[in-house]
Formats: sequence, structure tokens, C-alpha cells
Amino acid sequence: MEAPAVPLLPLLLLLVAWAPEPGSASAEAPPLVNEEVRRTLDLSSHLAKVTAEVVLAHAGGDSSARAASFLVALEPELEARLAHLGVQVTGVDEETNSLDVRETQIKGKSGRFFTVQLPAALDPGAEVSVVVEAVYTHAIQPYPTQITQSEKQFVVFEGNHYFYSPYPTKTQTMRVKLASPNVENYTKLGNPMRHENLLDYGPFHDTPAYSQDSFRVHSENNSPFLTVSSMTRVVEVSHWGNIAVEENVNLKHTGAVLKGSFSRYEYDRWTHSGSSSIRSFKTILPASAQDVYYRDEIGSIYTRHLLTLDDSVEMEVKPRFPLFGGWKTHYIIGYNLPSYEYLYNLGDQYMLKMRLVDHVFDEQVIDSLTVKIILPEGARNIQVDSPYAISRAPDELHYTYLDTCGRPVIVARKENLVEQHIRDIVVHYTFSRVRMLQEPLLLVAAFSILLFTVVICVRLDVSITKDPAAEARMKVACLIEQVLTLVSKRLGLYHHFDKTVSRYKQSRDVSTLSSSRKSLETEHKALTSEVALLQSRLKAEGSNLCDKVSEMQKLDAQVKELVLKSAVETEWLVAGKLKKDMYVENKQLISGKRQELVSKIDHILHTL
Amino acid sequence: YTSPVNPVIFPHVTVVLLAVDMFFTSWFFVYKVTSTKYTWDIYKELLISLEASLFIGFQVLCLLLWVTVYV
Repeated sequence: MEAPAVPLLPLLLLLVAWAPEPGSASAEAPPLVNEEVRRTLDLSSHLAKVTAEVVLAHAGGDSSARAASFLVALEPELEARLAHLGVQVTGVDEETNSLDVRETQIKGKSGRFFTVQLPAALDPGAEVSVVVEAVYTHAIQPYPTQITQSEKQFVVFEGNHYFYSPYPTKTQTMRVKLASPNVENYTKLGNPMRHENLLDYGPFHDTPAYSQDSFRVHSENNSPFLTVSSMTRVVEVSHWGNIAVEENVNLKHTGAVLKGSFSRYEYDRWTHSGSSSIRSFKTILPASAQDVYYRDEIGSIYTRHLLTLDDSVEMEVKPRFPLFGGWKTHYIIGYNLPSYEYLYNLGDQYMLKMRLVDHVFDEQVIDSLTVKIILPEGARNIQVDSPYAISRAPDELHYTYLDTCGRPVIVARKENLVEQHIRDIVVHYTFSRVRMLQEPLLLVAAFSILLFTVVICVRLDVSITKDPAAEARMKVACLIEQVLTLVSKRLGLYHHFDKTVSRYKQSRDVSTLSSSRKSLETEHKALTSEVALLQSRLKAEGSNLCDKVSEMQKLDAQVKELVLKSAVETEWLVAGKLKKDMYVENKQLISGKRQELVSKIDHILHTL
Repeated sequence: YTSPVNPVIFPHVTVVLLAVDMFFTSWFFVYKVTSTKYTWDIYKELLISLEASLFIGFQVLCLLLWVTVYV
């Protein structure tokens, strides 16, 4: 874990001077010494990065305790600016392991202290080499604070010549890397060497613990002094397979403020004009980002270029106007990610592993970050594991498409972030899959309510008077329709009976024939009686169609007779009572008559 | 974790469901228009409207997911 603000200089090394130090972190702290320190101050960007390679030695006698941890200290002047502190140790196989860093207090000393756990306790007389890295934001100040468009930007950094540590240092060197070879002045302690944009100080010998010597360098620095003054990152998780990320960014140029007016002509014409202004920057998005949009309050901004690489998507972002000192802009960038890369599940348990903050631009500084993670509706038992300390606001509810009770939102805040804070945050929650059905079912319910309303509305009779003629017509039409259905059913019966007869011809099964004949009789009777009923109702309505219906009934009776007759004939044929050619002749006669009658019935039905 | 429905098929499913649902909805409305006060059958009406709303509900969801609204 990195401590958010750790001074650069701390490296442990505690030596003989440790004992008389009042209020040490541990009562029996083993004496450690910084054998050799090589500090590198990287001032080439707007962040001050101090890396110290320290060889830590245990200077106690054989009887002293082993050192399990060591202390890292920060100067009181710079410690407020710390954004990141990391300690690494190079293992035997050249691998670097980050060590655990925790903040502690030292009585009687101002500034901040951090305890770093060593991977293996240090024996008396042994050495270990560690690398302490600290990043400070806003430590490099522009000086002069206001420049015109054509001037160059000069900045000042004030630090420490020595390595600030609770332990004495035997030898140390310091190298300062500046942004450009153009250096106004720098403090000259111990006759430093200067070569282009590098300053070499040292070696300094036998410096006591907590030694400080003011170091100041004033040089030209035209690197982009871009700061994100505030940023809101919204991550919306959908179980339909997508994670939508949106970043709402407020940018500010924190370099030397622009004095005077801005001349666009000069800016475009001369390349050296506005050398410290920011024209564009590059944002690196996750590799599978799709549907990237870049917009602000006015609308979509098209001065952007998207480049899809193998392991990332690079977007070159050009704000609507170049940023000069003190100028601000605001934009929104959003993209979609497939959920299978970041969401994991085991049954009902889900785990979301996403970056808490992503790359906005190189050497980024974010003054204030708010992260909102929106989980699907019905997510319960939410647990958050963050890689570093964040402050969590109470969970909110977010309402969006097809929501009934709101989606839980996890809100987290943090200040002063740099690139090293791009780490994963893990969120655990439970969600039952059945709840996913709630969305389509909600839509179905909505539409069914709509259609039911239509059903009811059309059925409601809101006419003021009743029109008797129309009513009667409607009633008659209804009855006729029923008659038609019944008649067609009856005809169907005849067909069915015909089929059974032909089957009987082949199978010679008398019982089936008789049973089917019986069923025909009963059904026919039922249908005929129904038609008669309808006919009587028609008569009650006073329609002349009832005559036609009665005519049709008579014809139908004749058809039935013929059908039965043909069945009887077939029976005779099978029994051998009738000769085949006679049977065929009779059959033809019967079928002819039947056709006639059926066509007549059809004709009547059409006229109904 | 992958989505239960493959996103590649969203457009096809949307169109198919739309076709089916158009059929049901139009059948429903034709039935409403042609039936009179005495020839209507509530069960048939309810059945058609239920099926129509079912298909249209799923179709709208698929449509929303297809246009990356991702409800």
C-alpha cells in the first residue's frame, strides 16, 4: 500500500545517532544506517519525483535485535504535497517487490513518518538495498507567476540537498533532472556539476539524521502543467453484458498565468508562441473500450483521434481551445466495456474488478476524485475492497431505464492522485439472476396494460341513444355468424363420416362403422337443434333470413339422408348383398344428388 | 461473467420478435375492429393481447440492448 503522502527522502537508516533520539517509533529499534544513497530528483514534468536508492545496513553489534522494518521520513515543508510513496526492494531474481508502508508518528518530531516492513528481517551487520519513490504534486511552482504569450515558463523547486531520514547517512549523491538545459540558478552546495539538463550534487559524507539543507533550482520548464481540478468517474454495471464508464473532467492549466491578451494569429503563426500552453493530450483507455464519446456542455467535440492498439485504445484529445496558464476547461469522456473482462461471478456472488481511476494523461495530477459505481438493481451485500485509503460517502440510489426501486451507487472520494494510483478496486455483491427478468416483464406488463385499456375502452358503450335498427342488424349478423359456424361444423361431420366409410370399406370393421354412425347421429341432432334455436331467435327479431335458414335446414336433412344411404349401400357391398357395378352406379347417383344439395346450401349461405 | 444472451444476436432477435409481435398486434386490432357487441369473446381477446404484449415487451428490451442502452 502506498501512503498517500510520503516524503521522498525517507529511507531508513538508523545509526548510532538513533539511540539518543527522543521518542523513537519502537522502544528497542535496532540501529540502522544508510550506507549509500543515490537520490534522483526528476523535475522534468510538473510533478516532482524523487527516487532514492538506499543501501540500508544494520549497524548494531551482534547482540542487537534484528530489524524487521525501517522508517521513512518526510520533510515538514514538502510532506503536504505528497501524492504517492512507494518502497521497493530488488529481490535475488531482479524482481521488485513493493513493500508494505504504513504511516506512524514519532514523538517530538514534525513531519510525517512511515514504517516499511522488510521482506526479511535484517540481521546485524547485513545490508539490504531498497528503492524509495515519492511523488509530490504542485511542488514545482512557476516563477515568474505571470508570463505573456511569447515568454517561456520558468519554475522553481525548493527541496532538500540531503536525504531526510531518521538514520544517519554515510555517503549520498543527488542528481537533479530538469526539463531543459536552460537553468537560471541553482543552489551550489558542495560544488555541483552541471551537464545540459542534469545537476549532480555530492557525494556528501556522514550526514546526520534529519539533516536538511535548502535546495532551490530555477529553470525553464515547458512541459504541460495540466491538473485535473476535479473529476467524477461513473461506472455503470449492467448484467446484460456491458459496463459503461463516464468521466466528467475539469482541467486546469496550473503553470504561469497568462498575462495580457491571447493572440490567435501569433499562436498559429509562430511555433514558439505559447510554448507552455497545452494543445492536446493523450488519454489511454482500456483495450476493449467501444463507443467512445468526447463531449462537453455544447455538444460533441470532434477534434479527437482514436487509435486502437493491441493492449489499449489511445485517444488524442484536443480541447476546443489551447490551455494557457490559469485557463480551465471541462469535458466528458465515456466508453463502453464488455463485462466479461471485469465482472466475475460464482452462482449468485458477483465481483467487479475495475480501475478506480484510469489514465487521463501522462503525468496526471487529480486534485479531487469522486468515483460512483452503479450496480444493477437488487444487488445486496455490497463490500468494497480498495487498494488504498478512500473516503466513502453513504450509498445513493440511481434511477434510470426500467428501474422500480433504484440502483445502489457506491460513492468514494479521494484527493491528490497521480499515475501510481491507477489500481483496481474490487466490489463484491450478490444478485439473483431471476431479477434480470424484471426488466422485460416490466415492459410486458406496461404493454399489456395498454392493450387491456384498449379492450375496455372499445367495449364501453358511450352512445347517448340506442339505435334500434342498427342494434337489430347487429344481432341478426351475430346470429347468422353462429349459424354459419354450426353449418360448417356439420359439413365437417359429413366429411368425417365419409372417411370412416371408406376406411370401413377396406377394413370391414362393422363395429367402428356403427359407432361412427351413432356419433354422427347424435352430433347432427345437437347441431340441428342449435340451428333451430337460432332460427327461432331470428324469427323473434323479425328477420326474413329465418326463412332461408329453414330452407337450408330442409336441404340439410336431405343431405343427411343421402349420406346415410350411401353408408348403408357400402355395408351391403361389404356384406355381399349388392353387386359392385350396381353399387358404383348408386354411389354416383347419390354423390351427384349430394353435390347438388350442397351447392344449394352454399348458395343460400352466401346470401345470408 | 458473460451475458446470458450473446450480444451478436441482438439485431436478429429484435427483428424476428418485431415481426411476430406485429402479427399479434395487428390480429388484435383487426379483431377489435371487426367484432360487434355480440360476437366478441373475451378469452380470445385477452389471449391475443397478452401474447402481443409479451412479444412486444421482449422485443423492446432487445431493441434497447441492441442500441447499447443496456438497461
